[in-house]
Amino acid sequence: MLLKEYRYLMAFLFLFCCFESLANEVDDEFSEWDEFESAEEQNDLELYGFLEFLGSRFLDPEDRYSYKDYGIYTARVSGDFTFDESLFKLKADVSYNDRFQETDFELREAYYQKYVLDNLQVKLGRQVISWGTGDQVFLNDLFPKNWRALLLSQDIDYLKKPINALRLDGGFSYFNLDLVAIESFEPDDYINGEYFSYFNSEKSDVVGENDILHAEVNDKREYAARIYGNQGSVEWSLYFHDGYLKQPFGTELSTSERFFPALNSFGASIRAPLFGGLANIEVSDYSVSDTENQNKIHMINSQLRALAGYEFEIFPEVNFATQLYVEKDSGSEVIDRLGLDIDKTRSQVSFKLSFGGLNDEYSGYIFIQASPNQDDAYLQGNLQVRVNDRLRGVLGFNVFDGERNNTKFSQFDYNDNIYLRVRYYW
Amino acid sequence: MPVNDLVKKVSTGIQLVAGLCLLSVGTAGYANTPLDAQSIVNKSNLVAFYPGQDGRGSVKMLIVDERGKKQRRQFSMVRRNASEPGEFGGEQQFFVKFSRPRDIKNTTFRVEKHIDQDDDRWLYLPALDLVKRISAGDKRTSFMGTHLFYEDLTGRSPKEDVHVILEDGKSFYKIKSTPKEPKQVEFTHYHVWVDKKTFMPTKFEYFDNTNQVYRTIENVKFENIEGYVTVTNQKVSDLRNGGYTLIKFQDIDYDVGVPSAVFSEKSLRSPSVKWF
Repeated sequence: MLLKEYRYLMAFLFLFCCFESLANEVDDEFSEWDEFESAEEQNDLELYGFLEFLGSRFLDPEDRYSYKDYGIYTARVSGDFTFDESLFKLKADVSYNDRFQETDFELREAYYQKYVLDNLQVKLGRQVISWGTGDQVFLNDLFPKNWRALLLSQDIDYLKKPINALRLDGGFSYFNLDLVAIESFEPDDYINGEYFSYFNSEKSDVVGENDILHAEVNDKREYAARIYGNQGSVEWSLYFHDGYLKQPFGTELSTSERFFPALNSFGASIRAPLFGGLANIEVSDYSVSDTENQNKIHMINSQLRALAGYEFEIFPEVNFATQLYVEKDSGSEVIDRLGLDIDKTRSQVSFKLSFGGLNDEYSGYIFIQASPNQDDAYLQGNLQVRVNDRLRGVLGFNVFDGERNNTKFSQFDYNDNIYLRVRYYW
Repeated sequence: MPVNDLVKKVSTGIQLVAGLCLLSVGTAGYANTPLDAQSIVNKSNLVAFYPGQDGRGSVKMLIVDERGKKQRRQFSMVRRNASEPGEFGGEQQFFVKFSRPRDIKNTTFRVEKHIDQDDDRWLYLPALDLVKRISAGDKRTSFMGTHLFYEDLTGRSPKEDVHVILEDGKSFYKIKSTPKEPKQVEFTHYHVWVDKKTFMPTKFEYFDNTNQVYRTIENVKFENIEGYVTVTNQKVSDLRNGGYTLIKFQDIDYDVGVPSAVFSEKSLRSPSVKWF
């Protein structure tokens, strides 16, 4: 039984071991300085990727949500093809999920990139786009996020969801201009009951697999823009987004169907060195359309969002970062009139202690985000071991807690988990 | 302010000498000019970090840890002088694009090096489309898991330490450098050997608070590239645990005309295929 359950893991480990022994054999053939020569030269076409096993265990599973521990086995292929001073990039994942016994294919990147002028670049195709200054809080970054991947404990890369878009990035004397046209709206991969329980406002309760949240996804175009630059060491940005909220915060009363409310947002941010550390401030103004419509309920209204953050090194290789984040409803009369039970403000503080840098043998972090006014918290952490240039292991956890069951973090209280990820790069 | 006093003291009377140094790069007879420690370090800094108006090259690193385990890093690097270097150097821009190992392939790194303030550093993580800024406090921490520090890659300003000649040897100067802001660094002082003929630093020894050498940087091999003495092999050692990093600089070219656009945030996100 045990062997059956873990047969894929065993197969993976076997593959890792084979690759590892091969890699080590090659190592021993070269003397130290000559070893450099063995490194591959850049080719026009480069293929690379990884194999990964992710296993996760729920800490306090509740049968009524039909929770089961899961394993996800992923193989990635990436290709960089450079020609004529341009780049074609491909990145695709094939993964098998043993919880649902399903195989998935995901095209994460497939784009063409070229500098059409010295100061103007075009990037066309499926790509990940992100901006802003927050850590796991997004104000002006309204590109879709994969929150399910975050709770599934996949690599943090997966939090940023790819989109089909045209991106133009131009540089001028005093500023840069970043223009994005998204082919058609893509929502977040939000928590919908499929893997993890969430608070369902229609049922006024935390629900799971039997109440999967479906929503009507439109196929409208979205636009986003950013003007940014540096003034000495100070980085500044102005943002604009014309599109939709990425979570289904609207309900059509006649059909009870969830939808993604239309949204316009403006914002700004600065980031600069301060007292030996780095400080950032970001604000955004959300205008949610159609909130006056009597046939629709919006669980989110027009809002002001603000973020302030500071990070610094407390000991060598140990960093401390803190953020203060506030969402304030700027159109609360609608909420009052409809008599909805919705919080008009949410404040959130976070503290992150991290050690080790990119490519250090050991690295890790503990990150707590908590809301003083809604009494909930999300604690996450991991320890990463870089065994060598090819093999990496991560052990971590996600824990949610809160007073009420309908706030941002406390609704996930039954989803606490620990996880192990092993990744082999080829 | 003691720092200001030191800077004044150091710069008084040196400017003329430094000016002469600049004019006499690579000329014989220079070694006979009596120089004070600050001038030697200034000159050495210019020789090591400011050859040409710009430069490019590829860098390969082999990291050997205390247990003998090996790792590799491979990247291309371009550098450009953003201002005409003065006696203490000048504003510079650096850009690095990684090709190995696979987990950091296409990661980029950018530095705006300043003379009178902390350098600005950014790291771009392509999978997250995230530009991460590295705070100044991190300048003496490991560069990508190697034994090299961020600061070693782009150079430490000669203004940041007080320099004293310990030994005026036949072919080298041995200089003791003590930080003006000891809290910002992990060493109490360091010794540097400067070749009298080329003014290239050949070795650095860093001391801890028990007065033990715990870290060294050795410039093992030099080549004359397009008229500039250039380090091609370097070894950085952690004497406390026996780990070290071997660094090889290859395919070096100077004065290639790298445009300033190559050093922008846009470039971090998508470096020009032409230059990398």
